[in-house]
Amino acid sequence: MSEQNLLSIGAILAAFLGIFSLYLVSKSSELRWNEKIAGFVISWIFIGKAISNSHFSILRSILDSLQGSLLDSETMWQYWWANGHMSDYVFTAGQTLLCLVFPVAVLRTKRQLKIAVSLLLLLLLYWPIVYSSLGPHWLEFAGSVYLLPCLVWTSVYVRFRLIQVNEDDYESGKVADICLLLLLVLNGHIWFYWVGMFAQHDYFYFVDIAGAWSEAGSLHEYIWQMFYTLVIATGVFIVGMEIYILQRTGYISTVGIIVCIYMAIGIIGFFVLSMGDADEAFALGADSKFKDMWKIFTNQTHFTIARPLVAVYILISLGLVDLSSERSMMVAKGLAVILIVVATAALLEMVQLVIPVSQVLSAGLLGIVVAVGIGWEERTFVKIVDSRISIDELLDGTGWEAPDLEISESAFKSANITMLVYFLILMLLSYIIHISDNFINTL
Amino acid sequence: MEEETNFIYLITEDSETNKILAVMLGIMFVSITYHAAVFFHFKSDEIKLKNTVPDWNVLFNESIIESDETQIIADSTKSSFFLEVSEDFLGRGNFVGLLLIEVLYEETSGNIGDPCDFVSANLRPEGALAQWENENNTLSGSSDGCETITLFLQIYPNFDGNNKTESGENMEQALDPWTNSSFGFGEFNLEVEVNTQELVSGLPTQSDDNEEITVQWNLVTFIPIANEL
Repeated sequence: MSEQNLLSIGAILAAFLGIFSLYLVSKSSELRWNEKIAGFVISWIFIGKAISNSHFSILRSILDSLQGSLLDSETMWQYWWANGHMSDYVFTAGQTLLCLVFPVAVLRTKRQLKIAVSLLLLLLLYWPIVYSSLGPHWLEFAGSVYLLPCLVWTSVYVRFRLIQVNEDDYESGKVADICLLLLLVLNGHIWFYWVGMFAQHDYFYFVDIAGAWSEAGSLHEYIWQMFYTLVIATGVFIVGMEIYILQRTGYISTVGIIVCIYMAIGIIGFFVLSMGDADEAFALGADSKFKDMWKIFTNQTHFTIARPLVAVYILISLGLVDLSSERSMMVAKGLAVILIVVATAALLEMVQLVIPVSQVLSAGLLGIVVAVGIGWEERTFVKIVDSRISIDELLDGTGWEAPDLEISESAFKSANITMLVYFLILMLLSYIIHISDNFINTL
Repeated sequence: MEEETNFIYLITEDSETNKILAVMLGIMFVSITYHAAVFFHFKSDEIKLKNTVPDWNVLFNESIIESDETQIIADSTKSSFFLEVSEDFLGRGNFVGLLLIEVLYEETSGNIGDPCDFVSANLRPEGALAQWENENNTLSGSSDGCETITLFLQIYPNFDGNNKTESGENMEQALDPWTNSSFGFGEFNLEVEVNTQELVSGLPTQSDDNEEITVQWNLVTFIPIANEL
């Protein structure tokens, strides 16, 4: 199991999640406008991630089998790189829009919504223009995907956690937990690096943005790391907040514990990733293979496997997909089964890295896990579906309810077609970048 | 009423929330300032040099492993001399650089006026991974005057005993081009042919029908050591 394999699995998971949820959300007629936008945005950002992960997986395999310089390679590496990179713009724009409408509607009038969507559409045009004309450049503002989600979701989390504590309101606590889950999906892989940022360690400060394409120490790198720092500050704050709530009430939420675990892994990761250079004698850190394995089990696993799994939980448990019809229920169950089986198989493959069991044994183990897991999955799925509660119900009577905005079905249909066309344009643009040797020319 | 539905209004209507949000913004601000200070000041030089691969001076701790073998080879026949190179033969951590072969003989018949025999030697290009096509090699030679025949084989590519400069993130990477143990391991086969010669002056002497040939193998081995420049 290598980084390349994990990217492939991440692409499969994201593709299933994106396509299935797109179908399910489009069939959901009872959703409020912000829930429907959230459902579609989650679908499209994972379709974007599927394209991005699959392309970077192919690029990785090209790099691994490279003889000589990449610049002399006759493969379509510029296409895979460009389309993989540009598909992530949908993730950036999507996450920004998501935090503005879900779980609480920051955009509260039709005018605000129009302005926000127009600005994001402009950014979706701006980014590819910058990238295809200047290459990886600071004008892309790489990492800006984290800015608004961190500010908005953390603020909403604070407000609702305090309502929960002060008014003993369970449902407000659930809203706070949803914000934490959304932050976890977006930020989890960066939280593993938090100690490195404060301890001034190379594994954080030497991060290779754009495959070392940009100049070391450039503004491009700084902006990227600055947003990573914002994410880390958010994680530190949340842990502090959860500890504060714990000592005040004796209660800590499950999602709060998960965030704390992520940050705790970051502390262990510091010892693994920062120690054991050639002249040091830290047994585990000295082995660079162990460092690679650590990254695969933490950073990469979150990035490729945990993200889609948490996202599908959010979609189902918050009723962003309508499961009232038998067909929708079947599709949703199919989606959950596929995600769990693929993720389990990937995790078993990863276990082979640590405990070298034979292929036959791991196939047997997978069979057992799937046989047991399907029953468990069935029960868990039914439990989640039965206990699902829409955000509209959670916010009812709090004054935070999403305002009534009329958005026609045709508007959603147009938005979906626009996204499809956008991806086709990105493919075409990437092909032009390939045939014109644009990457090489921007060096 | 517009103000009441404004997000900023909703999020800041509670004073305790405002205090905690101020702490949140404070942590964000301090973290970003700290990161900027590290990025642009404390770690700036290291960051700028992070993609610079350091150069290393690679020097070679050389040793020569000698071995010899003597055979009596009959007139007009070929005989093979073998050198088996294994890890046990070399010792751990040693790599094979060059092979020097000396074929020595003299006229041993003791007969008066019996001239030196004609001896030819040929190192067969097989049995071990080496630079068989290298233009500096001397894989065959001959003598009819009892001179030593000297053969040479370049085994490790580019090895000449002189220091080299290599690039690498660490010592391991710098030494990587000089730690390929597949070169030189195996069996070398040197074929030697003897053709005795008689005096052609017409004097009544007795000619010989074999010769004693000694082959001396000199295997140059090395242990690479890298020092960062």
